This record gives sequence, C-alpha cells and structure tokens, in this order.
Amino acid sequence: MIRLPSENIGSIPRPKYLIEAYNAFNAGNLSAAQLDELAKQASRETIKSLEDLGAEIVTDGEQQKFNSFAGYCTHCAPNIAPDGLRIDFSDGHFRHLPRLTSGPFKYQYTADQFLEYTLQHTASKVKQAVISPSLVSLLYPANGLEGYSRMQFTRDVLEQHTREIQRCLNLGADKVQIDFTEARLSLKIDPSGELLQNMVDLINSVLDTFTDEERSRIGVHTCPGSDLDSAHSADIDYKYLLPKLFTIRAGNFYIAMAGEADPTPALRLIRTCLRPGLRVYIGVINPVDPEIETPELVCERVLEAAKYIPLLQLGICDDCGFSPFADDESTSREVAFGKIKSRILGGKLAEVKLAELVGK
Amino acid sequence: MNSDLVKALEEKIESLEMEKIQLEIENNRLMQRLSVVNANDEKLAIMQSLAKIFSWEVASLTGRMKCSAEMMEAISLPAGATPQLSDLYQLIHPEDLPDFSKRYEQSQINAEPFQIEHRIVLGGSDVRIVRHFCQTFIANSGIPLKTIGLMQDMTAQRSLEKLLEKRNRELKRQAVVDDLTGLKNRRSFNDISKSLWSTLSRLDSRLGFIIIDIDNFKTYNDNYGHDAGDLVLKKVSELLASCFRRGNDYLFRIGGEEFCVLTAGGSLEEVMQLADKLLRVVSNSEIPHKFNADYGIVTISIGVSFCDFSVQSISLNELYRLADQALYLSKGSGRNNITTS
Ligand SMILES: [Zn+2]
Repeated sequence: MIRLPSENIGSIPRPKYLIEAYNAFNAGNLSAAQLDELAKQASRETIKSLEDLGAEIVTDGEQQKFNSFAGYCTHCAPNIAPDGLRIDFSDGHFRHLPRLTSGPFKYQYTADQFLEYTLQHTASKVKQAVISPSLVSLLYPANGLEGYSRMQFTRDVLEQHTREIQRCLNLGADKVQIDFTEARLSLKIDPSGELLQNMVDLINSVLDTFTDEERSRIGVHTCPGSDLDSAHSADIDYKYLLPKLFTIRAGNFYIAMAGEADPTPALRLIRTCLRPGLRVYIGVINPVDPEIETPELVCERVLEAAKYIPLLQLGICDDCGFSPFADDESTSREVAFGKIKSRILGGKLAEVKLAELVGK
Repeated sequence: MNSDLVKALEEKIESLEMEKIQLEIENNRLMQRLSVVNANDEKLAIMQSLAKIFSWEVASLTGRMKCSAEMMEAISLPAGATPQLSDLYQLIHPEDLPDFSKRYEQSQINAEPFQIEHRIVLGGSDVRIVRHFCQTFIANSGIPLKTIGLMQDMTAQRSLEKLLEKRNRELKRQAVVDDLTGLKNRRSFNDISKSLWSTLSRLDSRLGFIIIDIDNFKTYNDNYGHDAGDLVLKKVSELLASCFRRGNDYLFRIGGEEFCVLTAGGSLEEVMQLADKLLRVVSNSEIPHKFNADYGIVTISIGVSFCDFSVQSISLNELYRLADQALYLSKGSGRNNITTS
C-alpha cells in the first residue's frame, strides 16, 4: 500500500461576496468587524468544500488573510503605507509590499488566530500557512527609520514569527507551512545569492528554537510567486535556489513544479539535495493555468516525480495558492476546487499505479 | 511490458551514473578552487594578525557577524557563541559608540563607505585608538546585504593602508568583471547602461544596443561538456573583444551565453557594420560545433536596437526589449544572422 500525502498550499479564491465586502471595506463603506464576519463565513464554507472533496488535511483557504498572503500581519496597522518594495510580474503588472513607516512593528493578526477558528469548524487534520520572516523583513523601508533600526525590527519580527509558529503547533496544527515565496525573487534582487543566504539563515535561526518533532511538522513553500495568472520569478532557474533552500532545517518542502517548462532538471536536483527524513511535496497543479488538470495528468506528474524522489519521502501539492491577493478574480472558486479535486483523484490514481510498478 | 520496464530502468541507472561522474568532476574543480581561496584567506589572516587588523562582516538581515581571529579574540565570546553586531558595539568605547552606530545605520541606507577614528576597549581596560573602515553592500531595491569592516590599530605602519586599498580595489574589480571571460559583467552592464543612456539622451546623441547569443550553446555543453563550453565562451569573448577599437563601445557578458554591446554616438550604419563584423569574426574562426545544425561550427545570432535621441527618446528598458525581440527573430530565421528592430 502506497500513501502519497496530498496538501493544498494556501489561498482559495474568495467568494464574490467577500471580494465585494473587501472592496467596500477599503472604500470605507464596511466596518472591519463586518468584514471579519463575512471572512469567517467564507472560511467555514471553504473548510466544508475541502472536506467534501475528500481532502485529508484542510485549511481555511486564507479567507481571513486580508489583502494578501503577506498582508494579514499588517492589516489595518497604523504604521504601514501601501508603497513598499515593488514586485514586478511576468505579464507587466506589479504589486507593492506594504512599507513600515515607524516602529515598533507589531503583527496585527497572527495565523494561529485563523487556525484556532479552523480547528473549531472541522474534525479533519488542519494545516496553517504563515508568512516567512524574510518576507516580513522586506517591509522595512530602504531609507531606514528614525529610532527604529533594521536590527531592532528584525528582532521584533523573529520574536513574533517564532511565537506564531509555536502557537500553531501547540494548537495542534498537523502542518505549519512557512510561505517562502520570495526565495526565488531574492535571486532577482540579488543575483549573488547573498540575500537568499541571509533569508535562509533567518529562517533557520527560527527553526533552531524548535524540537526535531516540531520541525517535522514545519514545512517551507517555494514558488515563482503567482498572481493574476502570472509570476514574478519564474525566469530564475531552480538550480540557483534549491541547493540553498534545502539547507533550511524544516521537515517538509513544498515546491512548485507543475508550472515549470521542464521539471526534470529540478527534480533531479531535488534528489541530490534530499536528506533522510525529509518529505518533499511536489506541485502537480498549476494555479496559473486556467485549464483544470485531469486526474490522469496529475498522475503522470506524480509518476515523473517518483522517478527521482523515494516514495516514502514524496508528497504532492498545488504549485501555489490560487489567489494570494484578495482582489484577484482571475481564478474562480469552482476552477480552484476542480483543480484540487483532480489533485486528490490523480494522487489516488498514482498510488495504484505506483503500487503496481513496485509489485505490491 | 515487463522487459520494457527493465530496459527503462537500466537506461535510467546509466544516465544517473553519468550524472554522478559529472558531479564528481565538478566537485573536484570546486574543491581545487576552494583550496586556492583558502590559501589566500590564510595569507590574509596572517597579514592581518601581523598588522593588528581586526576584520569583521555582518549579515544585514540576521545581524550575524563573521570575525577574523584577531577580532574573535578582541570580543572574547564564550566558545560556541555566534558573534553578533551587538558584540562589535560592545567593543567600542561607550563615548564613541553613538557616533559610530549613527554612521553604521547611515551606511545601511546609502551604501557609502566610511572611515572613522574611535576608541575600543580590549579586555575591559586596554583602550586603543583605531581607524575603522566600513562598507555596506546593498542589493537592488535598497535591501542591505552585508557590511564589512576593518579596524586598524593606529600604531601600525602606514604601509598597511596600501594593502587595504588594494584589497578594496580587488573587491570592486571582482564585482564588475566576469570571472570566466574577463569581460564586464551584468552588474557592470546595469551601471554603465544607465549612465550611458542618461548622458547620451542629455546630449541628443545616439545609442546602439546589440545583443549577442551563441547559437545552440546548450547542446554544445550537453555534448562536449561544460569545460569545453567554458573554453568556447572564452574564445568567443576574445573574438568579440578583438572587434573593438573605439573607446566608445562597451562589451559585456550579461548571461550564460549572452553578450551585449553598447555603442555611444555612432550612426545606425556604424552599429550595423560592427554587428556584421562581430557575426563574421565568430563564424570565420570556425570553432567546430557539429550539433549546431546547418553550420557545424560555433555561430552567433544578433539583435540590434538603436536610438537617435535627437529624433526620439526610447527608454533603456525598451531598447533592451527591442534588441531582445530582434535577437529572437534572428534565432527564428535560421540563426547566424542579424536582425534590427
Ligand atoms: Zn506560492
């Protein structure tokens, strides 16, 4: 019997009423409490839908992570401006990260709050994504802040991030996933790789405070950063990223792969980077592609990955969240659930095929 | 079905073996290079120790510090502890610290190197005056990467300043020169292209943009190996460089097998002549490449864009895009040719 764990990465498109509510909130026509209420409703619906699809491990689809996968920690913060670091995407559109305008930096929401809510509404295993400290570190303005140094800021981020993960684990998250979507992006900002190394060090300094058992429940997600059906760093080759990525002392890695033009070199490289005890989740669903993958295609992708990664260390996932930013309507909820269904069915199909292949 | 599977597995194993051998070769090469670097580091460490120089490097994001042996001794940490920026601060005389930390914070923003004279306190009582050199390196978007620092005991010989200057020059040179080919690198391209563009546009002059790509270079690497591929990159670089006489032309290696030429002031005709010369100098040298279909030798494809600022202004990004698009057309129409936008 072969078992391939199958997990989703993050965001699921918000229902229309929530997007409208979010826009109304931004226009000042809806209170934060009213928005919260609707986000919770969407969370419950998402959890239920995932359960109905047969997902073994569920999430709230980040319905309550306002603004973006990165924005929850700054949502409604008084010391945040919208015009931080600019991130360019392949189709020409761009997003700005928030920018810190004064110290100290304080998480407005923490992911364990969302997790707590999810756990109250399901009996299934639950996974929770948190934003990486390295992404948050990019919120500090390039020209510094009077009386609040970058070092102080980093210390504050690390402390809050560590507590966030610890609380998620204590609450009983089956997995806590650190969204390290800026890993590939960092190589665009700094091709020498030094920034990436710094980011990896930062994450490791957090992971080092956890036990082995806890680290086996912590994962790291990397991808070319999809948004509005395009990406910010798909042109950065995985070969520059993966060897360093795998020096992160987490127990699980979630690696976008379905969107790669040619996944073979990356899969090969993963094989050489693999340590015993790691679980590598390979992306078999491409959220950027409007077509719903068939279970057969998913199965094919799994079999390809299985050529390189030992079955005991293999898992599958989506390449990324389906709509990391709250205003993104490029992917419909139905398509996202269709894709997730294909991932689950395709994974089962692959389990059977692989069992045949290994003769059991 | 079963024998197919066995055959596929055998092929798989064979290709994995090949890959392993290649990785070992690469590993050996890297180890050799590393041993040279280590030997150099060792020499530097000895010199620093003789000259009583304390050197350190702080990663901006994590605040972690790497220290020379002298520096480690100076900050006297318990064994196993990782030094931090705060340990450096601790070493500095309390009265001098505000000044230093202010300069340090500033350098995180403007990346300007600074030197400052201040006191340090060794072993809790031994006060010395040092000259402290610091430089922060900043990535695009203003994100600081690291700061390096050297503290020099003022009693040390003046001649040491020369050593530092040389080291600094070397660091800077390495930052703008491509190791393999000795050509200016991508970073240099980023700087020079911007300043050229702004100067030439201000003068209503002209800027030519030539992008060059070695045809089927990947298949060359795949078939002849990476060492041979590196030789071709070197050879092509030399050939391209041999075409330049004017001080107003700049040649860069901007990617794996991609080169770029910027010409300042020349007419479109002159730019095209140069492109033609570049194309021919490579094909005329007849470097064998039997996997480059139709030619059997190493060839290049070229895309050209051009801007006469007295007529119109085209942004640098747009020039790049146009040349790249032209290159793409050259590739599509049989390679070994030139397309202008
Ligand atoms: Zn992602």
